[in-house]
Amino acid sequence: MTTMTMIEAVRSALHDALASDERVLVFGEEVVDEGGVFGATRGLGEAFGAERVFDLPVGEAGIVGTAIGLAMAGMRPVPEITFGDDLFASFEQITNELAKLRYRSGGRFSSPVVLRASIGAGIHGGPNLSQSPEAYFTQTPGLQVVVPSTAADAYGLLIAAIRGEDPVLFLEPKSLYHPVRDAVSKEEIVSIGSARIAREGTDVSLVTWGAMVPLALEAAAAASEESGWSVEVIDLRTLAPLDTPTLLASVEKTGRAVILHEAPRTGGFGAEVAAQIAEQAIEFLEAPILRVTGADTPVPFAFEDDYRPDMGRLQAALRHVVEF
Amino acid sequence: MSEGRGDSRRRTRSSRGRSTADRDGSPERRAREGGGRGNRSRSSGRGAGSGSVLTWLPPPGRRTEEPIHERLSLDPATLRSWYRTLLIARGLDEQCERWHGSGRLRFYVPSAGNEVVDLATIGATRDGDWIFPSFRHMSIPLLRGATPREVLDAILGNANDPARGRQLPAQSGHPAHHVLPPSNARATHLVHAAGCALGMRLRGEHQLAVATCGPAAGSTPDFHTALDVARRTKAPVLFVATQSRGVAAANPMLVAHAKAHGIASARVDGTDIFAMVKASRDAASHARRGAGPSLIEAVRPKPSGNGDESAIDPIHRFRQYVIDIGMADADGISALEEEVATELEATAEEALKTPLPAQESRFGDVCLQEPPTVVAPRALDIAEGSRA
Repeated sequence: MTTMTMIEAVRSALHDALASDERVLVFGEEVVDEGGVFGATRGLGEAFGAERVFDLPVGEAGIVGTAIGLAMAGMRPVPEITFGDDLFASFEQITNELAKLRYRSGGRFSSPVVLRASIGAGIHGGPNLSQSPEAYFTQTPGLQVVVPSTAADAYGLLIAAIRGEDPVLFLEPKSLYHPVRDAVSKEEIVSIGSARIAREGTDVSLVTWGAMVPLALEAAAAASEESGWSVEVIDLRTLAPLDTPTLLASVEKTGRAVILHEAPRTGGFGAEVAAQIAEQAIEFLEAPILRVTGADTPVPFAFEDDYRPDMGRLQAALRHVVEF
Repeated sequence: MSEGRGDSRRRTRSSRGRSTADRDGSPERRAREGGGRGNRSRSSGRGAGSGSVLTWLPPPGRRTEEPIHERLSLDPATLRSWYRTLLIARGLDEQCERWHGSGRLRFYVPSAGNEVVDLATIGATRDGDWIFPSFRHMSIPLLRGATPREVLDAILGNANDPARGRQLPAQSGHPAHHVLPPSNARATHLVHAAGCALGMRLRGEHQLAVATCGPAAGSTPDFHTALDVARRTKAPVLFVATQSRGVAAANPMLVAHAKAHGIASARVDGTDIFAMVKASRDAASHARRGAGPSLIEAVRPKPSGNGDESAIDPIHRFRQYVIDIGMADADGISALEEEVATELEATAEEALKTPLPAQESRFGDVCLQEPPTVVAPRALDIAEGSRA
């Protein structure tokens, strides 16, 4: 058991996957010399050589399309898209090709590609380097969408994704790359599709993922200290497939739900979580389901911190549902 | 060495310049020179805008007595088997057109006219090679080992269709034949072919990937992405682009794109089976010897003055050739055509009798492990179905 930051955990998982399976390939834009913008692949090129870790022309559709072709040739491609915002440049390859090949071929072909991308605010990157695009992809059957929030989950989920047989969109919150060191057990593979109860509680379920998990934990601790409320924090970890049993069991226990995400409110994945709770557990609810989210605006460069959900808004939402 | 050949080369050079690909011994150049044992190879701009087109057969409507097939070391038995295959491919397309016309098929993308292109390019492949077809290339599965029945089952999306009726009517792929099922995108699969070729090269396999596309592909970013990735990774991939008849003004000349990317290319009469076979063989060996990607632009000439469409039908041109050189007579060929048509009719009848796949099957294969959100609506749907 060692401690790592999330970026170190990602690098470590890539290293271990490359070492244990010769079909694994890591590539993207400048992943060799610089190890990518965030350094996730630093040192891998030297360790594994130009046939395993290589740069491709800058162009996300090319990177994803090449990955699909490499998978046809029997490889396990783990390409990096530096910024999740640039996933849109490969949207057709992801949604029409990567996600649908298994289905439209009757299960005779699959595209086991793990597509990594950094997402969210955190570097003051403005409207086009700060987005949280998960909801665009959870709407596409055939894609698994994973968003880790800890180093341990980043390691365990990335290993599970690379070992799997289906495409995974692995979205790494860039604001969580460096700030915290967590204990990482390399023996612990985290199943895709399983949510994590990050903190147990009985009064309200706070459902979140990715960049917002630390804020949720902070708010839960504060609520306990200041008001005596017991907040259960659920880190979904995988958005598709959604772990509805864990979600519903929590809401049935607490009778209240607040959903927290960084992406804009309208059509965000929180809407799906709310709908699942409303469809399947409304009889347990003692208060409306509330969402605390990013604004329905692009992410503003100068006001990034104001755009993101903060402690004040989250505490107000918790208060509203507990005192409803 | 004849005057004619020299003229042809001079004209080509002056109009096209000398790209690296040319000096490098591109399929186009080698194809031109391959016919150079006498005055045989003609590069003609006829009906194809500017730029020369490799063609070996005489112009549509004209006759030859020269056994052109011998330049490619082809024997009469091979030609006979090719003609039969072309007839089956065309017959299947015509069957589907009839089903579409009668409402039996609610959607159909015809393939007629590309059979010779497919026969030539697939003929240059080996078992381990991978094929990434676009629509309008229904003969590719046939040429890689599928039966006519399997082709029709896939088009109908019936219970025998391995894709379980999920694709819009199109050729289905086959892992054992190394043929991907086409999606409806115009050029996304060209990037897959480049990636697959790169993968085979990384694995140390001397195989190649072949991808077909239509003229519209050249206007998409994916087309250029594919050529860029293939060139930079020296991927053993052959892109085969079919051009519209006469080259519509809206469609770019695809060899020009290939040259801009520094990729070897050839412009070939896609209705001339021998020119296509020559160009495809050259492109395949170009890839296999590690020289990287290439592109064949298969053009269709304009019909001659009298507007006779059949004169530029690739199968008709082939038929005319075997009659002209005395390899077969019209009666013998008609008998073969009759035989194939009868066989296909019976096959089509049987395929039509096959029911649709079980309703339940539409929920499968989203992922290897079925997501719970697929299971829940299924329960609802089935409950609703039973009420109705």
